[in-house]
Amino acid sequence: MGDFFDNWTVQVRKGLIELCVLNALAERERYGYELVKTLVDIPGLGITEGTLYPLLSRLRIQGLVETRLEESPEGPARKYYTLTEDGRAMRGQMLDYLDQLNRGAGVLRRRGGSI
Amino acid sequence: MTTWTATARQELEEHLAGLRRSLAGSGADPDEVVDDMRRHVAEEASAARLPVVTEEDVRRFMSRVAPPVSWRSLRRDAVTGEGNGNRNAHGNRNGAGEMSRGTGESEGGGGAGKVGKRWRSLWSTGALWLFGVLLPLGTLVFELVTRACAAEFFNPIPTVWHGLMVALVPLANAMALGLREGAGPGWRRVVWWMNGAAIGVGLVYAVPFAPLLPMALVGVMFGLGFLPLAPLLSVVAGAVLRRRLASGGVVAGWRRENPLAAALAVLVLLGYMVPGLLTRHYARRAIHGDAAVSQTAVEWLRRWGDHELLLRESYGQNRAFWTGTWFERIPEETARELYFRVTGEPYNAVPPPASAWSRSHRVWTDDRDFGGAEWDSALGTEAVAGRVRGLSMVSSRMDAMADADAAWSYVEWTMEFRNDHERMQREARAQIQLPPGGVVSRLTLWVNGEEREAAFSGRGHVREAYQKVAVQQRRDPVLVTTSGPDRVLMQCFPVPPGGGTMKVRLGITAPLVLRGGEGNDAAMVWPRFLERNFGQSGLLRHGIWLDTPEGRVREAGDLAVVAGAGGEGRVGWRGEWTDARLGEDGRVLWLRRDGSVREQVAPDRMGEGGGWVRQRVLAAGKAGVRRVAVVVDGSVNMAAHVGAVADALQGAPDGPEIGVFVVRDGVARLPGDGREGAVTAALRGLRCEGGQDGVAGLEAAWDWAAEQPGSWVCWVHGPHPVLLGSAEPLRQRMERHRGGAAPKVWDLPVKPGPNRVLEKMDGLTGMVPVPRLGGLAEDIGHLLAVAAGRVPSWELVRDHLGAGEPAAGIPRASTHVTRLWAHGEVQRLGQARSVSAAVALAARHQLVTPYSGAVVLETLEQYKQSGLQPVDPTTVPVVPEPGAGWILLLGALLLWGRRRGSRRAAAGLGTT
Repeated sequence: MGDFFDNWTVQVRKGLIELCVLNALAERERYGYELVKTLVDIPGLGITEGTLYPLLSRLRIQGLVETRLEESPEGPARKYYTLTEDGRAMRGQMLDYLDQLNRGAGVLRRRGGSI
Repeated sequence: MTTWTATARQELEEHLAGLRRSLAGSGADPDEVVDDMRRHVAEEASAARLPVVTEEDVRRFMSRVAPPVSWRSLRRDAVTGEGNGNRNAHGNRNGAGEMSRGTGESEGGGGAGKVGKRWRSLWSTGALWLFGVLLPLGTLVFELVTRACAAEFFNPIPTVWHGLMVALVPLANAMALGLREGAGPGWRRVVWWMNGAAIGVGLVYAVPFAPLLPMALVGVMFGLGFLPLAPLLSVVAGAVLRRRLASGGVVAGWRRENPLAAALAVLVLLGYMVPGLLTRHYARRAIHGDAAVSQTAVEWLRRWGDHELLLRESYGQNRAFWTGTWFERIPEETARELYFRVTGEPYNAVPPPASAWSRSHRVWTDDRDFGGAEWDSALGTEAVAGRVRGLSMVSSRMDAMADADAAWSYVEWTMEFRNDHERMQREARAQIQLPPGGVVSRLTLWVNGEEREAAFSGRGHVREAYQKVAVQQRRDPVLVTTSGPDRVLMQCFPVPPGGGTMKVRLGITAPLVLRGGEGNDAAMVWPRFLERNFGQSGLLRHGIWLDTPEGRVREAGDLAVVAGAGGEGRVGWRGEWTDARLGEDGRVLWLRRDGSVREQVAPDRMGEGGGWVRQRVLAAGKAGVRRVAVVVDGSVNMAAHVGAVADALQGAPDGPEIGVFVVRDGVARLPGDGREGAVTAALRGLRCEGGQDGVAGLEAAWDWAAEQPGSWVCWVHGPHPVLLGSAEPLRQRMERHRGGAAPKVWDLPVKPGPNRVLEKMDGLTGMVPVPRLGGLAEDIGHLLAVAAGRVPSWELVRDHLGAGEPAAGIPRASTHVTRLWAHGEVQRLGQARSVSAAVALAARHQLVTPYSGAVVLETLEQYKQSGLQPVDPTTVPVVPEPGAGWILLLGALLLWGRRRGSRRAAAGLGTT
């Protein structure tokens, strides 16, 4: 049973991780370190820096986010990430899809009754 | 402000390099991600307010960002939280940069898959240990112990450095296999480098072994084929280990250093081969090319060639590192000739090059590398050849007497040889330079402590007997034959192995060289070695003893009077000389003589009709020489002497025309008379190199000198250990040009050594060695002054008076005078082609001449079988000369001893 649950959580997280990033950036522009600290605080998401930065790079290459560098008085220059128009549109589509999915899944859940 | 330690930076770079590798094919930009990660870690450090970031801090930061091994696994890690042990109930903490981490293949999988993977891992690791470590190591040890490949194919380990490079292969592979997870970056880098170098070494060795692969594959069935496959298998093992190291993140930022190490290893090994390759190439051109090409090749070899390679080929001990046409061996004889042309030294004057391995590793080496050759290829021949291992001269003494008034000397040279070889019998051979005009008149061998005298007979006859007894029956003979003017070859066999000894004695009768206005100075010259195949201890001294009438030694030098020795009216002189001391011009001892003694007679006890021999001391008239051709050898041995030749020419008195012929890769006559400044200046500027062909120079000089009757050729030269061309045309000139008009050739060596040209001139009276009594300029100057008639020249003229009693007033002399007369007569008969008469006369007078030799055999039976008769012991010369009563007593004793020996031999007690 444990293996089944593990595999299931992997699948769920796999689908949510990009959306969480887009959501975090939709709120406001964030630099990498800040973004990581924001996302690692989400219980159960289990994202790490080693995962996040490649993901951000892919999103930039796909045109969903854009970046800029800004000098920091406290350390190295910071790289800020912002959603592009395509990113915002993609986020909208993803949220719509997820809402629709949740609604369907909620109906089934209600029919199944409480645990 | 945060400070980073160097190791912290290095640690970070290692992790980032591993991360970059893992991002290949992930869709992300590796450069961007690495930059982001570097920035992130810096933020972490800054946020933690660390004044100094250490290696441990970096590890802590990076433990959360462990580089995933592939994008797919990265994605999985991300959602499962692997690498973040704080959050994941199931996750494992992943250390960064571990070899054991795997390649990222077959993620997940069931228990059966894990077991299978574990087994595969065990198998592959075992195979790596077997083919990457044990096989190359075993092959190296096998080759060092047996030298099997070196003996049969090529030498894979010609130097210690090659051995170390090969040893690097199993070492590097073992280091890679044994690399631990916690190893520091410095050590990991070393392993990465070593792996590259091992692959490079393996590649270099795999190529020459490639032709052996088919044979190896067949041999695998018999368990031996793995040895030639070792290089190839080690390359495969090295490549697998390289992949493991790379995939484990070990390489970090030094990925390119591995192929660099491989390239360096290849370059080092190939670089070692370059001089050898070029030397072989030019050696082939020197041997097979036309004259111009050959000359250019020799010039190249002199300047840039690998002389040690030529020396090894000369000793027959070289095996090329690789196989193939480019590495073909040079035949030994050709290599010896080439070595002389290139270096000017005979190969056997230089010890065999040391082995690739030092004496402390003797068990691993070829025996021939130590103290001479193992196999004596010249056994029983007329060549001295190179040193043989284990054979040495352990004692030497010269007992001499001289009569200055009668102008003769007699030296008995007793030598003892020892053979320390464990199992091989040895033949001791040496070429000995006699005093000017000298002749061997006695030869003795000790057999079981008893002295055996020689039989004198025709040269071919005694050599045949020696060959039969020495080489075939392996008994105890000694042979002496001439090998050029004033030169003899002594050979004795067998010197028994395991410390066995052999003792021989040569008696040499020689005239003294007279000088001075009244002929009252007499030079006694001692014999010396020119070439030998045995060694000598550095402590060995030749014990010198000279018995002379009182007051006759003019300059004793380092000889001291021995009180009470020598008998009434005589003095004994004693000293100890090194071999080098004998080799110097200082081997001359000056004696005082009574210049008024111009005539003496000596009994002829050995002649058919007896009688007397008269010796007269005559002042030679003005020489009347019209031309003197001075042939200057341009070999490297002359470099220190051309100045002296120039000095002598500059100071030459007016008289004959002097032509100077320089032999320097060809022959050129310097324009003008030899006394002219331009000629002497050209001589002084002569660049002497390599070894030169003396015959060519002598031919040219002879032809020029022969244009005027009564001319001379003066050959000033270093040793000629190799005959670079045929000497027959020169010998033909000297034999066929009859009459007194033929040029006389004066041989003037600047240092002792073998001379193959002179050997070919054996028996020709027209080739006369110049007595080396002083410095080179002095001796040449004297010769030129004699040619110009400016200084007196004393000549010893001997004739046979027949049986009639000579006049009472003429002083009586020793029978050595008779021997010297016989020596001259033998040469005269030989020149007149009366060889039988010459042999008979030489045998009667017991002389070694160009037509006769001396051999000592072990038993009377052997003499009988060979048709030889040993000399009567009462007739041999001794030191000091006994009176008549003593001769009779000695004769009786020896006769008794011989009969006793014969009875023992007949009773089967003959010595062996």
